Amino acid sequence: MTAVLLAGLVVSVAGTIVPLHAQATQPLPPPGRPAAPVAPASIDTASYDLEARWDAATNQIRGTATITYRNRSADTLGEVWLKLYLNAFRDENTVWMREAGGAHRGSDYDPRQPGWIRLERLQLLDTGEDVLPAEIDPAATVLRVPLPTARAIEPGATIRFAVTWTSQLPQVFARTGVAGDFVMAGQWYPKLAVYDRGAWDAEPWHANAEFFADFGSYTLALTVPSRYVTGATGTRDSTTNNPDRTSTVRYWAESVSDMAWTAWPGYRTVTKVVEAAGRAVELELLAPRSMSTSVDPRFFGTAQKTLDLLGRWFGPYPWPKLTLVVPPPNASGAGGMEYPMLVTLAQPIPAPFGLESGLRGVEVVTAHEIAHQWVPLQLATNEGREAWLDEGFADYATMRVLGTIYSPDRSLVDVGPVKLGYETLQRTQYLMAAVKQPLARPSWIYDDFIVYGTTVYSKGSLVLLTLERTIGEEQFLTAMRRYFDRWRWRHPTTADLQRSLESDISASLDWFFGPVVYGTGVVEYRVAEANGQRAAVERPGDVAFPVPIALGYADGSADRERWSGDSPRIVVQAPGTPLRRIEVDPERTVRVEPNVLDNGRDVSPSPLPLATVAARLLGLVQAALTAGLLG
Amino acid sequence: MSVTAVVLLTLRLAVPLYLSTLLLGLLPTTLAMVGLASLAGDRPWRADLLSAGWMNVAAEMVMTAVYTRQLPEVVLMFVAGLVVLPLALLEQVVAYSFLAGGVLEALQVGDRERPRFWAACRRWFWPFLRLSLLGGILMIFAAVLGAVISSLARPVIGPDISMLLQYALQAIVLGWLELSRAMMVMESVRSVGGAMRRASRAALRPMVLLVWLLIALPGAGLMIVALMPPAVEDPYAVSELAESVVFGQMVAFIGAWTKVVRLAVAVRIALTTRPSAVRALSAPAARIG
Repeated sequence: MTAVLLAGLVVSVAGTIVPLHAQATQPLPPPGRPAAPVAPASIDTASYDLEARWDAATNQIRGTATITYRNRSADTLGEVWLKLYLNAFRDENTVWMREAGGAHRGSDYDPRQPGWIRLERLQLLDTGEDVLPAEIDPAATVLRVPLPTARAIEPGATIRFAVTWTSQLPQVFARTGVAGDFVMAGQWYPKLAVYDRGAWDAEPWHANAEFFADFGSYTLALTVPSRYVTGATGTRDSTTNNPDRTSTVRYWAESVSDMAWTAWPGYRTVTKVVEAAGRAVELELLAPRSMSTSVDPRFFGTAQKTLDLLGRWFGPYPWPKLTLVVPPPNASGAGGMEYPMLVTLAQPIPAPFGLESGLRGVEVVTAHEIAHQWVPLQLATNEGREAWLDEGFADYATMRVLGTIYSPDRSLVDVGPVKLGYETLQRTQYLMAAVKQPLARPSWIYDDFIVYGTTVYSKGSLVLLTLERTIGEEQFLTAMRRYFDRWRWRHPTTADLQRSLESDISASLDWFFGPVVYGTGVVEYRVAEANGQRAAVERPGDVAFPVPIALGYADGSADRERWSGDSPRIVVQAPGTPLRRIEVDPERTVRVEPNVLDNGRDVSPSPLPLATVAARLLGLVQAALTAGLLG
Repeated sequence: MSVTAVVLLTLRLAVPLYLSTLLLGLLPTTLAMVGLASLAGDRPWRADLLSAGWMNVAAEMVMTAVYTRQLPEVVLMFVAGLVVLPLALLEQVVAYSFLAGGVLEALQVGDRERPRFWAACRRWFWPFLRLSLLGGILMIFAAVLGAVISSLARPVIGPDISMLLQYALQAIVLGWLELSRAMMVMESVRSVGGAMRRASRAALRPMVLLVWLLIALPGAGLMIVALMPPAVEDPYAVSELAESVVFGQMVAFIGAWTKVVRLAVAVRIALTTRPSAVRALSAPAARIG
């Protein structure tokens, strides 16, 4: 598999991976601080200058920050809201913990090592006025901060806050925390909530929800023991060695919505510059020293291909660098998360004789997390209220990327005769619990994590795949590209996505979004009867989805009809030649149709295919019996 | 005996073993196919079950059947795979315990004097079944031990060596059991424990260990071959059906033959380790205990 990935690549002596097709073009400029910002400065809404000092003895971060907030709305804001995410892990009674039941995606919460964030100072920087509320619920993950009347933020005006706080990181849990001397700091500082469409996002943090933030410029001065290797959102500016055996590493990032960092003495780092959709991107891999370097090409290859393909489809990756973090095995709960310019990944599943390269867990996680660099990290959707917009997109993008690199039928597993596509995994999960679940709804409404996950990830990705195959790949990708161009650096909703697509395909999609995305509608067709003279197709589902019907006749001829699905039943008459086969949606366009097994029928079915299956199965069973070590 | 005669003899002795796999294999296969035919009998996509991406079709089929509550068909397939197939594996152990006695006696005397095969099968059935059951426990113990050792050593030796170690350990234990069988027949001793003790002396010789390791390779290779049958170009062609039948049965027969060859090797090792037995073999009265 690695060979497949690297087939089109040239590895230079400097360790730089450059695709073959790039050789004919102009040399790429080295990545670094761009001459011009990646996005207009006008997108800066919430900018942070952060200073963090890591205390390894207590697992605490002592932080100070200057937060600059620009009111880009038309309203005068008399208050701001702060998100204090780490308080979700204060104890087992928080909203988040009660919803999660003390566990998150297989990792258990350790109440002896909780997480919290404590605000110690909150002042208006320009006037020195203290705006820290007198009463703060220590378990609250949101905090309302009323502003003095005279300091209300006028439209277009800017306000600056000086903040001091302490963050206690938990044992690695829900993508953040510590494991030994490994540190993954996500959601570690007080963040301004988003004011959008006339309201603050004042929702507490929920177990199934992720994040929502404005864009801005960030700097970070991170002080850690000198033996630590660090990585963070952004580009490393400088490193200063301090007299107390610590080092201060400085990072900067523009047009980002968050700043995460990691530190660990056990990291090894590998850096490569790759070309992706015509731009140079520096990839920095931070991996455990215990992880074989033979795995590195899988991370780099997948990252380069994903950045390149998504860049071509949805617009280039806008930042100069991407840090790939592989947590150690005892901190796997920190893996599989996206932050701007930084993703946390997963180690490969061990298997002998090179078979692990056919188990594409590394590729799936890498492609999925990098896809998030587009949504929600360029299109900052609300990951709590409409999680499908980013998770559904990320899995749809992963399906496309892996299907392009490999083949759709083996993009998840390719080990000998065992071949599985990522689309099959999505279909399987969709059928588990998501068929009748609305997509566009807050994450915390779903009954449990299974329903949430199968809906926002799997149904979300299949909805986009269905739209792609219905509208046509080229037209859909063009429309999606336009959606990205329209909404980059903003906060689109499901309605915005629908309107954007509709304007580019010049057709209403209400018939699909209404029942399938917002509602509980089910697309379902079946061949009710078929004989030589006629066949009947029924629509037991409640969504009238236009589908093709393929007909095959005894003389070898074939025909195709398109049925709008408006009526509950349609009868097809054979024109004279006996009908031999009828199939609804033979190309599997409608990936949200739960039962596709009854979509076709042979009038006089040949027993040969199943007889051949039986012959193969029997041979395999006999081989298993013979191979039985005692037999 | 000449090599040709040995080959012919082992091929002939492999037939009953092969037939037992055929009969026992038909049980789970038939059950699974009844379930599959109920779901897919007249569906155009059934031909996709013969494509390279067959597992995607199978996964979708099973999940959809579960979703649409077509449970009897799914239950049939699961029962075939999770209940009847393991039972067939156990029954194959019984069948092998029965047939091995006849095979070993025939191998011992060669073509010089054909023993009564079925009588020998009956004679050795119970001792060999006891040996198989004890061997089963030993194999499980070896598998667990191998897994623990290799998982502890994996960071140092890597997954490839780790896997080979586990396989080698099982191959050696299996060779030891086969040698015990051969010694029981050669010495006309029905005591399992005694035969295993005597076999252990020979089984630990480096050359014998190497032989068992080498002889385990074709078995693993055959399983891999069975898992990767030739691609089907036209699912509706009779020739493809014929090819699948021939391929499957060839692999099954060769599998059975390798088992007989393994027993022949066990006889050979037993002969070389017990000169007295060689002498005894020249006396016809000692052939069959």
